[in-house]
Amino acid sequence: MNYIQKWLFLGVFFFLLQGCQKDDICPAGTATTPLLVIEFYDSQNPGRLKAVRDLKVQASGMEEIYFGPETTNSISIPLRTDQNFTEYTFTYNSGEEDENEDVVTFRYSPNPEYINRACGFRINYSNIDVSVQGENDNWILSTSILQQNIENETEAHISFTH
Amino acid sequence: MKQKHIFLLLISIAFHSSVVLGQQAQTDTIDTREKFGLRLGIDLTKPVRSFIEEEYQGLELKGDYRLYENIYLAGELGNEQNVIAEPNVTAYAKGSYIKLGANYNVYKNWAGMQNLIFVGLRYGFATFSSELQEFSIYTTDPYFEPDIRTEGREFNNLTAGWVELQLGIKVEVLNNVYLGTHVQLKRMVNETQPTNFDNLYIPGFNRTYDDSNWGVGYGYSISYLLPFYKK
Repeated sequence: MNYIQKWLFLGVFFFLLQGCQKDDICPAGTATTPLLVIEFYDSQNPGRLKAVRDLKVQASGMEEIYFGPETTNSISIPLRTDQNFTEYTFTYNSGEEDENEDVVTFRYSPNPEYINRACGFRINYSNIDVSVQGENDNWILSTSILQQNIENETEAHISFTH
Repeated sequence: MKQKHIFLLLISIAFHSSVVLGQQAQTDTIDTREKFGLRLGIDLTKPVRSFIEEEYQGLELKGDYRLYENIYLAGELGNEQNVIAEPNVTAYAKGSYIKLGANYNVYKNWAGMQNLIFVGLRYGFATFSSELQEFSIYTTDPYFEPDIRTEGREFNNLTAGWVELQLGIKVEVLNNVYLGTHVQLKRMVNETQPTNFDNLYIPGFNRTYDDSNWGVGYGYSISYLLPFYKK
């Protein structure tokens, strides 16, 4: 019996030395940093969604185009988490002769929130504000904030009319 | 025929133990009484890990006192510090802990042997501090460059308590010197939650898991028995 115990001791020792630590992977579907959801409405009839023809979206300072050109009536875009504003160029009728670029600035307070050890932190944005640069010739006619705080992507946060 | 029977009788008498001269009644010299006393030891894994792993440091003293035939009062006292580095979070924790409880020996020893196969129950308590050293903002959209923050945030005066089940063996390899190993299963009872963060590592408890109050651990020990009396 003593013999068996000593072998058992050795066996358990080497088994545990191998280590069997589970990797923590952030599960898909976890509520992480939300995107900003914008819906486009008809300026003539502000209750009705109206698609933007050949919309192209690109953040200032980025070489890569984020979206489009594609016709759509709503879009979800990421905001910079390390700054309190993000500037985007929204191009209407992109690639056409009458294409129209509007520069839109989103201002907000980014607040880090702990999720878990696998995912780390997410950002919630509060006190969002939106402004469209330039006075004349803008295709975005008005903006309104539907939700001050951006914590999920289930509903639109901002609406544009055109 | 008659001669053969007489011969057999003589041989039987000659070899009968009570007749063989020089044969004396021997008393058993092995002392079958068991030792009762205080066993003190250290955990072997923690100094080894301190040596191998750059970011880990730990030490644990342990002891048990034989109260009854199979029941030992037992406890551990330790200090640990460790860095938990996950892909999105890196945190450091350090502190001290104490575990108190009892071991029950389920092993029936042969006469003269005093090994243990034990089941132990402990209440563990730790006081510690932690520091969030680095974290990244998790986003499913890779458009902007990753946002990795390295500003440290410290959390002090943290405490945690847990119930621990141990399963292990102790083998007397030399007179009064024991080698032991055990595994631990524990369940958190209470813990201080740092503001907008979590305890990733708790001294004595080991690492924590998301969405679970359970923890695991193991240890190897060497200990010395100070015998007080025999029974």
